[in-house]
Amino acid sequence: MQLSDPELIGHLRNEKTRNLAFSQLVTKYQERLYWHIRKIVLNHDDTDDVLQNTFMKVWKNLENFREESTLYTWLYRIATNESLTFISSRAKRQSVPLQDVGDYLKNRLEADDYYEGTEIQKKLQEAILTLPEKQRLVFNMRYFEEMPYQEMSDILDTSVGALKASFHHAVKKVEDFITGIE
Amino acid sequence: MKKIVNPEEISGHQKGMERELPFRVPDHYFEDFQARLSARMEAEESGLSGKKVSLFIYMKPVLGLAAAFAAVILLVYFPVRLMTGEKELASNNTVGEEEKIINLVEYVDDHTFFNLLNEEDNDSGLEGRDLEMYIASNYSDYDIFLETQK
Repeated sequence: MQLSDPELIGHLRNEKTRNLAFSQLVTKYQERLYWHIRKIVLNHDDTDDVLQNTFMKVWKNLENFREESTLYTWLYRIATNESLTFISSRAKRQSVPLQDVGDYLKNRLEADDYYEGTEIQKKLQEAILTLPEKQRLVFNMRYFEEMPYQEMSDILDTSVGALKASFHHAVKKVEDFITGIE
Repeated sequence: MKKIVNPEEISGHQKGMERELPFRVPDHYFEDFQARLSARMEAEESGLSGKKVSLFIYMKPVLGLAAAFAAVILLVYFPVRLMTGEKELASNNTVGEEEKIINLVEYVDDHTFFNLLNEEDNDSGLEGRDLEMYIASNYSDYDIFLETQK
């Protein structure tokens, strides 16, 4: 039986039940967080690394979790930060300039054995990679996950208004990109 | 391939573009994930103490080599140097003593030499059997006889 988030939190705070509760937390959230991370880092192997990093960070910081945010929001925030940190450290290691991170991610996507997009899907991914980091995040969360703006606001620590504006700009740029290459 | 529920197009232009991610995962990926995560967490936890040892492991060959050099120097180089040094010193001393005697005897005539031998406070060191051997090898019987008749 799957525990609710408040129940999970209660068990995570108890030293005797912590291990089992963490195992249940991983089972409950692994798939959702995987797809959230995959949309950011694109490559499966990289996603696997980041997902593991995310859960390890969660485990190490259980004591620091305050119930000001929901467990779900907290997990998504860690996963997002871990994804961005991963990309930036990998790009830095390969001496990729900040403005070329999109190209770096495109290469990682093309090198992925678990990518199987159609031509139009490939175009969409290329268009998304032309967006600035924040717009890319917002576009992915809104377009693919249909995440409510309020949840996005909690995860990204950005106002709902700013997120709406970001999404609007992102959509326009994606449309322009696809129109331009047709 | 991950299918996103309730697909809805962004705009008319993108009609036909499904909200579907063009990604897939390896078979049984999510079933195996928990086990791989646990293994990594255990490895990292045990690796924390292992990291302290790891520097020693990296330095071990270098330290071993340094210790071997030190052993060679202590056990071979110094003793050999010490021994050869002493021998050189000893041979130098021996040569010095012999040279001194030869130089001394060369410039002394026979008469003076025997006078020196006869002096009571003579402490040249030539006495007894050594003296007999020196006289026997350097003087004929006749020379000795003549000296004793003086």
